[in-house]
Amino acid sequence: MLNRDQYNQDEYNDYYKQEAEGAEIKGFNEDEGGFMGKVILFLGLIALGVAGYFGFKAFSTTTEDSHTLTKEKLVIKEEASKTSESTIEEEAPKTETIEKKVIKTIEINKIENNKVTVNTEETIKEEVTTQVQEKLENNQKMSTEDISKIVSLVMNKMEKEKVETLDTNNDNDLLNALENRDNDILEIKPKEDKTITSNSESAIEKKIEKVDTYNKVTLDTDSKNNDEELTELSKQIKKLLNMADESNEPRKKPTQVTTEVTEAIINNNSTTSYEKSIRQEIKVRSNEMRIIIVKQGDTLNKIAKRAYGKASSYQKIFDANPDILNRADRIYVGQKLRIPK
Amino acid sequence: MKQLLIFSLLSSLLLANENAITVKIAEDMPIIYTTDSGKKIKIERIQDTNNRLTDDYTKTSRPCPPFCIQPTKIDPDIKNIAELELIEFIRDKVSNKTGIVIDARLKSWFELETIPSSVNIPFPIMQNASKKKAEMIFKILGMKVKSDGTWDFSNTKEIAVFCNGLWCEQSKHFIKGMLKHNYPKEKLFYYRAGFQGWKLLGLTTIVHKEIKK
Repeated sequence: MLNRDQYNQDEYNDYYKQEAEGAEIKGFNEDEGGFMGKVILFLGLIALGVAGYFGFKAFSTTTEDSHTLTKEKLVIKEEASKTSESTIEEEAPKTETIEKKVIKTIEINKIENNKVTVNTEETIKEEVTTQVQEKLENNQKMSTEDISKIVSLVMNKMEKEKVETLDTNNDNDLLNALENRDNDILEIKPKEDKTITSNSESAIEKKIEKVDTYNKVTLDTDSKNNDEELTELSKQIKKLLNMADESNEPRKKPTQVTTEVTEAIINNNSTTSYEKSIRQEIKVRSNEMRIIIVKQGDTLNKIAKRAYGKASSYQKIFDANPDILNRADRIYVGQKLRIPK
Repeated sequence: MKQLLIFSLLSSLLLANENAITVKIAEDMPIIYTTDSGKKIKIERIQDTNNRLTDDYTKTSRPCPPFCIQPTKIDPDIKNIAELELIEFIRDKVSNKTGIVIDARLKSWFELETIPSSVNIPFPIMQNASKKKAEMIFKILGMKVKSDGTWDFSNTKEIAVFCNGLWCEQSKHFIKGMLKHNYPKEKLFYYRAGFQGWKLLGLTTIVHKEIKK
């Protein structure tokens, strides 16, 4: 038989238990969690704004690190130069094709009244706000990944849309500004700049030469890599000069000397006193320019003895290499030390 | 809080990035690139703000004559240029093959150290050049000989000439040699501060022949 009182008591206990648990889990935490989430997201938005502001500032002033800059900017140049209607008509066929890309890739909001404006901040804000709103609606907290995604989105956007308001009232100014921009692009990421000139294209593929502490680049002039017009021109001039040099060695092949080379002989032999002075000066300079590569077992004393005949003159070497040597007793194999006269 | 920290870190990184190059060539031109002997060269300034020139080009006094302070102008119609104009010349005209930088010093000076992308034509070559020899040099620089034998300079390169600096007259002799054979004055530029001016600003230099001991 069913004990009615007992049944009610059990039902009441169950009901009470569920209510208590529900209140504990859903009630209090729901309010608190929602509030905290909103606060965090609000702070996140502020931080994004700040990061965006400074980021934009940094990218508009620094040209060296905008590594994804690009064809789009070159494209803008084409577009802008079209609006200038001056000397750019010959580039019209190119411009037409590129123009389509512009519309797809970059949102140029206005090209009117001789002004090209790209509303960078607003588009970035829209993107970020949508992302954040999605999170808000789903009542989710933003993970670190989400944050970094949003930040990278901001960065990419800023890089792509970094085109300041350019006043085209003076067409030349605009073109110059854009040219400078292109040059900056070339400096930053040459690999994407193949459309600028064939010269820059070939330059891109070459490694940047290393520079020493004196900002000097040592080049092997006889390198087989020399394929550029400038190098070719340099070679031609050298060849021409060598003809004269060779002709300075008299009676070597007298029958093969051409008229102009003969003239060169005469001309080069007429060395003035000024030339003599310069040649003497170069000896001084050569002495000033001596460098030594530190080998295994070298010390400053040994080097000084080799260079000056006195080990005690090491201080001279130490003083001439302030960027390389911190202590006179610490030199390393391979270091290039300047050895003054 | 975690997110805030990440944001502040990122923004400080961005700010740090802005100042990556301490010593720029000019405010809006941190560095430029050019080529020399087929190699890509970055032209920049020495970034160490404590750097001083030690031996190179620090000498104040050489006997005059011959090493006298040079007048500002070589010829009233030849433009003088300074470092920024020369750098822009290298960036714009040398790269698009309409210009060439000529080191007018003797070969041995050139080999020791020179300005990136420059080509050496020692001044005596031009100074003493006969018409035939000048024609050979000018042809290399883009000059054409017309059917009637006259010289057409319309496609010749613009030339920026330099030597050791304010106390050096090698550029003068070179330019006068060019003018003797009617090279167009509007295509000649004189960088009077010369190599010393270049060095003084800590700009990148090229060594073609390292002196070792």
